[in-house]
Amino acid sequence: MSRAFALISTALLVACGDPVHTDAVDALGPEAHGVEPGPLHRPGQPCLVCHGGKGPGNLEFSVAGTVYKYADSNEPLANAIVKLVDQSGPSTIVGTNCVGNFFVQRTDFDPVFPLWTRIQLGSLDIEMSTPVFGKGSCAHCHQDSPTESSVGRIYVAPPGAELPGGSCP
Amino acid sequence: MLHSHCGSLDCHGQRGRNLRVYGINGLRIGGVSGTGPTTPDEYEATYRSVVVLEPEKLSRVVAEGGRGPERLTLVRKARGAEEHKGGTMAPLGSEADRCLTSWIAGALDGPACAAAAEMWPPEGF
Ligand code: HEC
Ligand code: HEC
Repeated sequence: MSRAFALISTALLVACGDPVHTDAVDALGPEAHGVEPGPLHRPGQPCLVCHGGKGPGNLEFSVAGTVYKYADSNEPLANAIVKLVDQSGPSTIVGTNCVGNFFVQRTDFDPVFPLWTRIQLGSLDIEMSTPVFGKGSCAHCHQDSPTESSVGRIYVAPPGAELPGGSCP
Repeated sequence: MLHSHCGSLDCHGQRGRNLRVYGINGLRIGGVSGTGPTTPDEYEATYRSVVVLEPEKLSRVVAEGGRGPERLTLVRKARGAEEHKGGTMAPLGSEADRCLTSWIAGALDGPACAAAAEMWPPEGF
């Protein structure tokens, strides 16, 4: 077998290596109109499907998600602090950006599950009372609508409550 | 104990698993995850999913008064004695382990189960 051919077949193998992964990525659809791939893209989606080490996102995250102001609307909560505490001790904090997204690179914090989390903004302090056991994408369990297998959005306040500092100008 | 240690939506709270644990903070039957108490139907469905994992072995262990529970994959995986993606959730001798194995032995250790019914975050969380 020629060297070039070997290289090409390896490339093909890599590209088609994991059809389940490819399907999961495809299922999330294209980028929203006018949004570049980057920190503000795909709010509410399970980031680690693409940023879990298998691509197509280059940055690998250990934990990532999107925080909203209210359970029933897509208004993002900006400038909030997300605390993440590994059962065995190590912890990290990260801020939410203007679309409510936050992400932690695996090279910075690589937790051993279970992982405990809480969200803070000013005097607000909302905890998730049970830990996360295995998935770094918050959206794995927090999809937009509550169902038998989704708790609904991650949110911090009842509908309409004032949240000073929680928006981008 | 199964709810708090096994039943989250990213573990055995998923329809595609052989061991399926239904209830409040995991997969619901007709309800919304995270809201409202675990229902009798959900306990029943969890029970069924547990007993059909290894029915013959389970019958044997139960018939022998719960001796040799490590014959069950469920117990080995929970103890981390066998490859388990979720890690060691009920180490040998822990309250969760005592809860599970006492149930199999037909002599439920109530205090161990009560202690294992919730998981607690690390100090200072
Ligand atoms: C469907 C796949 C997919 C999902 C889901 C996804 N991303 Fe991305 N992301 C990409 C791709 C592709 C790029 C562009 C390549 C790159 O720079 O990594 C990218 C780029 C990024 C970048 C810029 C990386 C850099 O090097 O500057 C950030 C930050 C980012 N995404 C964050 C997120 C967050 C946070 C989420 C979840 C709310 C998310 N992404 C969900 C595919 C995805
Ligand atoms: C394994 C499924 C699962 C994952 C993954 C998950 N959650 Fe949760 N979350 C829940 C459940 C169930 C509840 C409701 C019960 C509770 O508070 O524990 C909840 C509730 C919450 C709450 C309190 C209610 C609310 O929506 O404000 C916050 C805050 C929260 N989660 C934040 C997060 C963050 C941040 C992440 C990602 C780091 C995350 N969750 C990942 C299952 C999950």
